[in-house]
Amino acid sequence: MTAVAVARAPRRPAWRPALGLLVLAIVAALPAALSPYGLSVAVTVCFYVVLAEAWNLFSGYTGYVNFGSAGFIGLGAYGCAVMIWKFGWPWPAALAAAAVVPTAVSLVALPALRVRGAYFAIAMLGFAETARVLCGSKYLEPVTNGSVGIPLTPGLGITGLFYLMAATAAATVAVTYAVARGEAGLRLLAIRENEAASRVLGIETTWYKGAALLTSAALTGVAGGIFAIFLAYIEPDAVFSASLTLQTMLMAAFGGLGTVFGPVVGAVLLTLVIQALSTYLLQWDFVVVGAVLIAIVLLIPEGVLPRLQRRFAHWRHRGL
Amino acid sequence: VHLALILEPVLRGLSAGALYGLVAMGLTMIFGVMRVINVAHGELVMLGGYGAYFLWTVWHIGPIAGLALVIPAAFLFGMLIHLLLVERVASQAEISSLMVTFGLSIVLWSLAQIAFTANFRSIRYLGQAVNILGVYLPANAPVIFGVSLMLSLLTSAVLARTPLGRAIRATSQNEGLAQACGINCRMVRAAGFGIGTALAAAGGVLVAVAFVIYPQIGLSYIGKAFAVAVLGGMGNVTGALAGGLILGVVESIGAEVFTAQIAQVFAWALIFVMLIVRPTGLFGAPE
Repeated sequence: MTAVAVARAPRRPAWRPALGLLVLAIVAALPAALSPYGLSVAVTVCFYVVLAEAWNLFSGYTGYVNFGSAGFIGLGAYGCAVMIWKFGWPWPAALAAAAVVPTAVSLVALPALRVRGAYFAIAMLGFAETARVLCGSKYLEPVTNGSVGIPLTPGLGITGLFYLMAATAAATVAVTYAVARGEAGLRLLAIRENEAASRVLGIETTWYKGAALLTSAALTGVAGGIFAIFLAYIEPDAVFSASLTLQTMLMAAFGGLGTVFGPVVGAVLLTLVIQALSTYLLQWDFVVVGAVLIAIVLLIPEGVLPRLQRRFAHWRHRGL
Repeated sequence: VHLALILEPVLRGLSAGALYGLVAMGLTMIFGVMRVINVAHGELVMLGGYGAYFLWTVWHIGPIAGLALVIPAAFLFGMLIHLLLVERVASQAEISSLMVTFGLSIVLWSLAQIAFTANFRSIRYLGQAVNILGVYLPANAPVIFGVSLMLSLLTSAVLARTPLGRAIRATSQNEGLAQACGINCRMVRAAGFGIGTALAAAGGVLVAVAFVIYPQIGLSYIGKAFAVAVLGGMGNVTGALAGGLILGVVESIGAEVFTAQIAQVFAWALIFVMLIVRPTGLFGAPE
């Protein structure tokens, strides 16, 4: 895993907190500046920021490839939707359920952490597929309304949805930042580089991997819950779609795996590009998305942000 | 009467299972040669199925004769994929090859959706009922079983007894030494990927006869193939056939007891159970 750069800056530049505040101010002012359509694009951008960053928090740092991101999204969406539609919960409580349901169900997936690489990746793909089929099956129909799906009208406007999604995105980045800058981040990276060696050094690898996976599941689940309200109608094929996992991985890999801000950059840039191109691409969108993923892994395996940072460091060395 | 009730799903399961074994053999072989899981394996099944479907509807070439055209075409297509994409990431961390083949899988099924539409297609071939051990099955079921078994045994024989098979085994066991003995490891791996692709496509031809094909069918077949490969032991080519028969029968009985939809989940559940209980497969460690 040496190809993926480790973004652990030796010292923090003074402009970082100022930039953070500026981003917060811009995000807070967005609803006033954007049309409802523009705001719905902004919700989508924040949604993918959560997905890419939460995916990165687990897969980027531990090197365990999670093909089951859509499972967390779908379980979060269903956790939220069922509570509102079936039990009449208010949306804040339903969003709590959106975090709890995928996390609780992921406990089942924890044994898969015994195996690395492709075994784990395919097991997680199976996790998402099993959840999709069960949510649409006749056995869960009394709760999930089967393959018909669930309509949602919880009385949250687009502005409220935007602030919720943006807050979730900020929280996800903050959690990743805290983990990455702390000891936990180092331990997760040690697992990625050499799991056996890190266990010999006394790192409780199982605990760290599990905690990272469950955190990733909870954050992705909340985003899935808000996304469900945003969609206003959900059905299994829409919220468990494997293409959600693909886009998540693409954005995280594009920005840079195992870095804090890479996936954010990847999610913002690529969501906007895909949105802008969607009118031209029509049904070719996934062909392009898949091809770009292949191209990135082949051409810029460490991600765009680390590459730019290296460029920048190089200039700094030459006194520019 | 009771015996026939049990025998019917078992016989159906054996026919489907031999097909699963054939597809999984391709997956496990690619893994054995270069330690890469081809996530796009299900899409290769899908493409094979469409190949046979169009040979049948456009040129009226039957699926069994169609195999003779689909298999070499798939072999070349697989070599091409390998040389263009997989070879570049095969030596890197696993995450690279997983993401490249995952990207390839999405590209292939969305292209198929554009080119062939999302309609369900199947080849009506030998559909009349025949009596086997007192159970009425479509006549294509024993044909599929036989063809799958033959192709599987042929693959095992190629691996065990031909110079190419020896080169493939040598490359997978010790690349440096194989290279020193004058083996072109790059081309041997490409041939291995080609054979794996050909097996997937041959399975797809039979899928089009036994079931239906549509662009997004790949996801369920990568699940089945992986479950079977894990059952038989990843990299164990003969184990894949046994694993396929087991999954076929389990799924078929599951569809009787629950619903056909729930039976589709069995493969995924089996992956989880095997990874927890016996990650090396039913037949011990292949490596």
